[in-house]
Amino acid sequence: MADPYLPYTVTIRKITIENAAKDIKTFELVFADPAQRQQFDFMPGQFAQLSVFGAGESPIGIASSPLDANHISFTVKKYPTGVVTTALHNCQPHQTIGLRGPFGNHYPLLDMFGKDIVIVGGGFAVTTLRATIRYLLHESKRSDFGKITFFYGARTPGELVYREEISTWAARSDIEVHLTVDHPDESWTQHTGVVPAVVTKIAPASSNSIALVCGPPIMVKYSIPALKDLGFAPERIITSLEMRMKCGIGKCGRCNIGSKYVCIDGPVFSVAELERLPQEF
Amino acid sequence: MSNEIRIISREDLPKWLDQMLGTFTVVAPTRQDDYTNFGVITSGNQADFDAVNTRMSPKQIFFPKTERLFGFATDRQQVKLDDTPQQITPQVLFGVRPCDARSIAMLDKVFDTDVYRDQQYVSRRKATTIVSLACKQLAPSCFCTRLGSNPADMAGSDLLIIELPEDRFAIGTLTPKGADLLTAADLPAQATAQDAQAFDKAVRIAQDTTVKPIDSDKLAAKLARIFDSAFWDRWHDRCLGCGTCTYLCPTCHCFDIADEAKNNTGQRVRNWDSCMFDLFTLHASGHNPRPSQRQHLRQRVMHKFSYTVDRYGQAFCVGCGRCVNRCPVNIDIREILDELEDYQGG
Repeated sequence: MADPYLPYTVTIRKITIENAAKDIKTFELVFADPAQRQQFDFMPGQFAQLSVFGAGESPIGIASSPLDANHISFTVKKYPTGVVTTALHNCQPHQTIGLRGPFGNHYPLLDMFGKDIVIVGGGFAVTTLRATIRYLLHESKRSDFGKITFFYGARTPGELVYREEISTWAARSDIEVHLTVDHPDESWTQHTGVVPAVVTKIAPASSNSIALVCGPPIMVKYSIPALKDLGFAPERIITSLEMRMKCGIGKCGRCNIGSKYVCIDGPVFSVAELERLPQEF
Repeated sequence: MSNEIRIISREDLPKWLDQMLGTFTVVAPTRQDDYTNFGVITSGNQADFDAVNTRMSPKQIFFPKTERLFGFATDRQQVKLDDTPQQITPQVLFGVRPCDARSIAMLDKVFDTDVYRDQQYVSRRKATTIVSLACKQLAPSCFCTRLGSNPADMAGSDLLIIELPEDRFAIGTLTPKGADLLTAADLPAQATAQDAQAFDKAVRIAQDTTVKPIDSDKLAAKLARIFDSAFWDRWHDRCLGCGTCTYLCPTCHCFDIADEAKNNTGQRVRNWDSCMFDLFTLHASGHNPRPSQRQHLRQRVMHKFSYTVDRYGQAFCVGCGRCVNRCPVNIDIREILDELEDYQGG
């Protein structure tokens, strides 16, 4: 049994600044040993522990698709109090950092098979949804799923991440993209207002459909009733939770909601599952 | 019941320890100022067989307060990791009280499972023989019997020593590891049939108790039901959030992982942590799912008496009473349990 605390060493290949405030960056990582990329077998929705040696570890959702064969990427927001996120943001390309994982469960791709997929994201929490969309749109996978509708919002246009990639999606005929911002600028031509309101307005069909929701707590809170009103059953609304997590393997004791550990029983839960747990997240 | 009983006199107990010292590191209760704690002994005479219990639990013998996971050395682009395991030598943990031995059996359920074997913990457990000493007397803060245990509980022990009249001790063999320790020694003598009966009788007396143990399944279900109730409105009022209860608790096992580094070399360590602290669950974003002492204290009680019942099939409390004894504001888990059992609110 391998030591679960010993990280892989990975090299930063590319760093992309994702937002106008420049506090969100995407790190493209390559394994020192390519065989380890095969070993790092994950599905969209899972997370990993990134570490800058000397600063510590932080749990971050995997932003790339498992079908991105050569690298793995993470989008990280820097917080003023976040020791590791700040250290990560100070890293330069070619620097070596630590990676442990993958951890947790993933979006229910088996249940999603053959269904229409509604994806609702907000702010930089869209990372694992981006991993999912890259996976769903892959030429080897796209025909396994029905219609894909993607809602994504942020406070301002500059805070929408993955803008270039999302515009390539918007140009495709096999995914419908709805972007919205709370505060538009002069050049903004798309939706205005909060994400749940746009979901209600566009009203994607709920029959034979499954919804994935990930974003700031307030967006998730109001998106759930909006989706329920459209006829989505709680079992068909899937969300992903964040927690302070140290070990990633259900031992360190802090990420629990009731008797469930977010790091092993989550981070992906259906709303039906969450409704059965204490409201402590 | 035990396979084989041996007998030793009080006078010979330290000598038996001296015999062990040739082969093992021996950890036993030793006097330190006005209290007793586990420490490595160099002579059998240093062991204290009469203290009701040690101030700290023996969990740190297997799960240290701070422990190196691996070392690292970095330059601008390269990182070298050093995960050489620590040398672990055979040891005897002597004079553990049955409540504490039972807590080690509980920690095994966390750190030694089919899907996860904590290398350091499991290596130490394998290298350690646990010799328990049944309690002659209970402290006012003891409540092992309420947790379905008793002063001669055998869970977690390799050998169990029970004091008989006339300064003699009967040693019950509970595991092959315990048997090996006895085989290696020439001091404890074979017991007579009468002594073996005396051992069995002492075990029965310890078990025969008038205290009604808590029904842990029922309590776990009730706790889940009253999570949002007014039951939790007052217990935390005086809680200082000092974490003493969790540090002294033999079953509390939550930990933090942190890096310690200077001049590009350092180590990643695992440190004991506590659900009593704000930082325990604070996100970098500032969000905290358990922001107040009310939630901290509830988490501790829920973790011990509900979540562990769900996950490991038993309440993670052995009734050692350390949290009762040392809480600076006298929060008493026994009172919480009493009121929980009577609580009718929803």
